[in-house]
Amino acid sequence: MSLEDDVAVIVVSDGAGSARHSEQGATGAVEVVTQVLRETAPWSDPEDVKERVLVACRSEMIKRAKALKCSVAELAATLAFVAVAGDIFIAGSLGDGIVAAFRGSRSEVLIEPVRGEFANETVFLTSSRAKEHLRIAKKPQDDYSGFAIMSDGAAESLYQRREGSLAPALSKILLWLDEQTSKDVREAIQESAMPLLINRTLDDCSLAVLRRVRVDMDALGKKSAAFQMELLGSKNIRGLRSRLAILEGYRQGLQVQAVSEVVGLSERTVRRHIRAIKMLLS
Amino acid sequence: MANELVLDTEDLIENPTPRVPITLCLDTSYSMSGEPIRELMEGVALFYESVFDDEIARYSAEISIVTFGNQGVQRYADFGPVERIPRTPLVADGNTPMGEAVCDALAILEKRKREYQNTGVDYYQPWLVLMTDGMPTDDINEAIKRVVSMVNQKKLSVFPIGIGHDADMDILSQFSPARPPLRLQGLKFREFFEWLSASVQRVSASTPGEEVPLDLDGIKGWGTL
Repeated sequence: MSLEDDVAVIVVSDGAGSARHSEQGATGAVEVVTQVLRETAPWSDPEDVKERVLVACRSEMIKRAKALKCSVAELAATLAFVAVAGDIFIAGSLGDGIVAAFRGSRSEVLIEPVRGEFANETVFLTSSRAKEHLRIAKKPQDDYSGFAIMSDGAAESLYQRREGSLAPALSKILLWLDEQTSKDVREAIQESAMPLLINRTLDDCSLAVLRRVRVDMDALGKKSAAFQMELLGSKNIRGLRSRLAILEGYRQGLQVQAVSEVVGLSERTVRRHIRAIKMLLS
Repeated sequence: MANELVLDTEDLIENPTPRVPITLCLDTSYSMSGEPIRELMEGVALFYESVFDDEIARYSAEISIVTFGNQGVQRYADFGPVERIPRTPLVADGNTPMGEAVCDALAILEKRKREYQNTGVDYYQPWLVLMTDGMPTDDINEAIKRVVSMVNQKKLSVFPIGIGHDADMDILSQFSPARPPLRLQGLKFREFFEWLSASVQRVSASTPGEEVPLDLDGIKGWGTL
């Protein structure tokens, strides 16, 4: 996942079991797709994004196949992604991964997996039919509060194939992010969730979640310092204290000079904090 | 890690295990009398047991059996869990209506696929194992046409096996455009069914995009090209 320049991106790429260097294909796909999604935000033309994603993946795989002295097919991998910029999001999937979205307590599958008639058939980035099967959805973020993407191995336990419904575990994980830092949640996924998922499939399991965390000021004061630091983008406790004080002054409508006097920081520093706060609150 | 960040199994979903439907189409004509039919019966039981012993294949493989010979074409065992080993003795008698039996086996496999689709169960490519010690006594053209079409469309895996020296390998080869039929060495049914079980286990454990090649070295223990 990356969170740069106001664009949040999650990408999952799952290497084909039969392809010798599929982990290389998957790694390359995650890198270049993240870059394309950042560069093309806010994705005014989804078809152009689709084209650029495929071209970037193809070029990367050709490059890696040359370095590995193998065919491009040996790097076969699926792809699923979600990117959010401001109040717009774009999601895409090629293959048997799942893209899910959450609104309040409701969850929905945004993009269903593409599978062949048989259990071991799907479409990969290296397939000649990749363009035909890469599905893209661009929508206003509206009241969507979170997204999850997963490989088919993780979907064994998180996606009900018959009903097309999602496991309660996903909503639970997203709610963790309202209370805990992303580092704690990442550790919890690794230590608690992943062993459960891995035990129930023979396939690899990948899961990525993206959550828009909203906390009112009163509730923020009751959160841990680590959570406050992450939410407000502070690097240390001292920076957090300054930012909280500036945030309070900003909320009260004080001028920069007045805030500067209250918190004991230069007007330049206060302006820098306010710019960061505005970005976080946008 | 904060203590409350824990998932339970009830937070997850159970999906049914993808199935591998297998139909054994077995010659029970008069020429199979005596030791061959007894060995075949034992081999079939061993196949069920061996699949059951594998913790993945046990829940994936579903086996049905169609016989041709005694009392014409018979549905000897319907699809079901592999712990239900069919125990009714096979009786060798009559002609060799192979064409009708193969068409019936395809119909059974198609019906099973529809049942999977209707209940949201994933499945692998169906398998048809055709075993005979002679030559057909009915018209096999339709059966060959349908099998070949399905194999070419990658909708079916077919394993034609000749038993003994009288098996007509030319006929069997017509059922199999992708690979040549195999001739069982002597009455090595047990070895064949052990190999078949191992092949089922490998397919049951395969993941998307994975093509499972046949264990060609394993064939040397029981068969010849």
